[in-house]
Amino acid sequence: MTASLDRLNGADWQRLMLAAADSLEEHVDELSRLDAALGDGDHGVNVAAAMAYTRRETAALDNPLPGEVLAVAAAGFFDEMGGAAGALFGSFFRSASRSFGDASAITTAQLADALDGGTEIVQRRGRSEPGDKTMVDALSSAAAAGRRAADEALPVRDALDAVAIAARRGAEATTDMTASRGRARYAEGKAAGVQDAGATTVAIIFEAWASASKERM
Amino acid sequence: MRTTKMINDPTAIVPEMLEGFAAAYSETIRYEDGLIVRATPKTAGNVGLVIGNGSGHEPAMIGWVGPGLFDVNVPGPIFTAPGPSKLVSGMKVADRGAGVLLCVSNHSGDVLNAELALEDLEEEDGIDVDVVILYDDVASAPKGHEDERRGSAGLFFVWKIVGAFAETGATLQECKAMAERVRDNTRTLSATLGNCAHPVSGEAIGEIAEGQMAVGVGVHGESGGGTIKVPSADVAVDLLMSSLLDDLPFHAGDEVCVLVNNGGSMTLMELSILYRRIAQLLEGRGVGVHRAWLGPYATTQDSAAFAIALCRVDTQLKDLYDAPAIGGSVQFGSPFGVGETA
Repeated sequence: MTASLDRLNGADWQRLMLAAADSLEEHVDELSRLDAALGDGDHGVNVAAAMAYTRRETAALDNPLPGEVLAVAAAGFFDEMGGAAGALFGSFFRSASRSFGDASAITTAQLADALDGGTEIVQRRGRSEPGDKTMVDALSSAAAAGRRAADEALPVRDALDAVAIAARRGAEATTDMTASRGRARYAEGKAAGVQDAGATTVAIIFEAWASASKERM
Repeated sequence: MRTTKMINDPTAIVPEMLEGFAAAYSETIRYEDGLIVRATPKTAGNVGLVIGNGSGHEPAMIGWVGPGLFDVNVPGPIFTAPGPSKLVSGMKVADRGAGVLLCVSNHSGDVLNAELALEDLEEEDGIDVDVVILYDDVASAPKGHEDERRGSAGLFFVWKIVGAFAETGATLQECKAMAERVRDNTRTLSATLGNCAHPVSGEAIGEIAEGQMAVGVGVHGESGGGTIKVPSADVAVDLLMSSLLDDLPFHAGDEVCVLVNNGGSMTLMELSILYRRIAQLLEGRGVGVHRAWLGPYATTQDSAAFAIALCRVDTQLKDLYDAPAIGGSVQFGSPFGVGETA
């Protein structure tokens, strides 16, 4: 195999997104349960709708650029998921897709830039900061890990490991936070002790990416 | 809490509902490309009115498309705002050459997707669009922070009045100002005796213990003003009305339209008993009632919930409220002059 370990090409990203769709679909009930504690219990169902679209349209792409794969995920979240979560996840993927631009393969530095830009737009649109018990807690932690990996010039597959671990840690940290943004802020005391569903979704996506990036074509 | 539903494929609930509803009221509406649109488009040169909303709150808003009401409703997934590209296609359909007002009930998903849709439309050209953010639920933020409040059942009055206004050749700017004026004169408070199940996941929406009444619960089960032992109807009305009347505040000599919204499984018997007390309190305060409307306007499936909404009206707002309108679920005005006083 001559494909560089230091880059992820379009076919790699197709595999990564399909793995994320698989993993999210396996976690639908868990995501709905987490959301029911704070919101209306439909996060899992809505993620599944986004993933059904993403799976179908990603599989249909023929030799795509990495950015084109993420644009499909953006459309899935925007238009099939809907709601605040769909708008924010869609904004993340659209920003990351634009950040990848027309690059044919993605390095750790490009990954770090995409994570930074995507996290920034989610914070701005959602008017939320780290600590607000939202998906930003997982994203900002993941983006910081991506930046460190880029600074240390780690290969992109190792960088994804660090990103996934950081996202999971960020998601777990939401358990003890008090919600101040999103619908969860109306749940008062009920939200304490429950991990945020959106942050959990972020962790599941990045963990699937990390794992799928190790698979050989 | 009823967990079984008369449905087919859970993932097809929304399209099957839209298909059936539009077929039943085909003289008024059509179901096209995921949108509910008027069967007969509004006269060209008038402002188009569009609203997106999560499904599961019927008759809101599929029942409110028609002459004198909305031009297009963009239904989202269950309890979930529709995404930006669906809003964009809805606004394009609604444009009759005078611009489109996107009406947004203040919930984070609706606001975010409206912002995205407007940005996407700005990248294209041709349609003049504006957005108005609407809120009325006094339980969701304190007085002085009105713009942080949620949209709730009182937006009924905004749709009815702006719907009529948009048939008169009013400009986009005038329609937006009218929506804001009705909003700023409307207050709503709700109470919930029992929750419902999410139609797809089966998860309970909000938790209300047997024998308890939660005050100020949002349309997605969001908590608001605390929980008490279920009181009598009169005591419940006294509690809600004191918050409502003091919030605007409504004064002697004011005139209002009243909505008692059925949030799902309340009966007309209960709504009538509630209204009896509302009318007594308004009379006691010297507030006149122009019109009252009892029934399901915005529901959360079969939640045992109701909301009281008051809208302060003047001569212009009264005329617009009384103007004829017809949607799949509602009809206002009558050739027989019902409601006319001698």
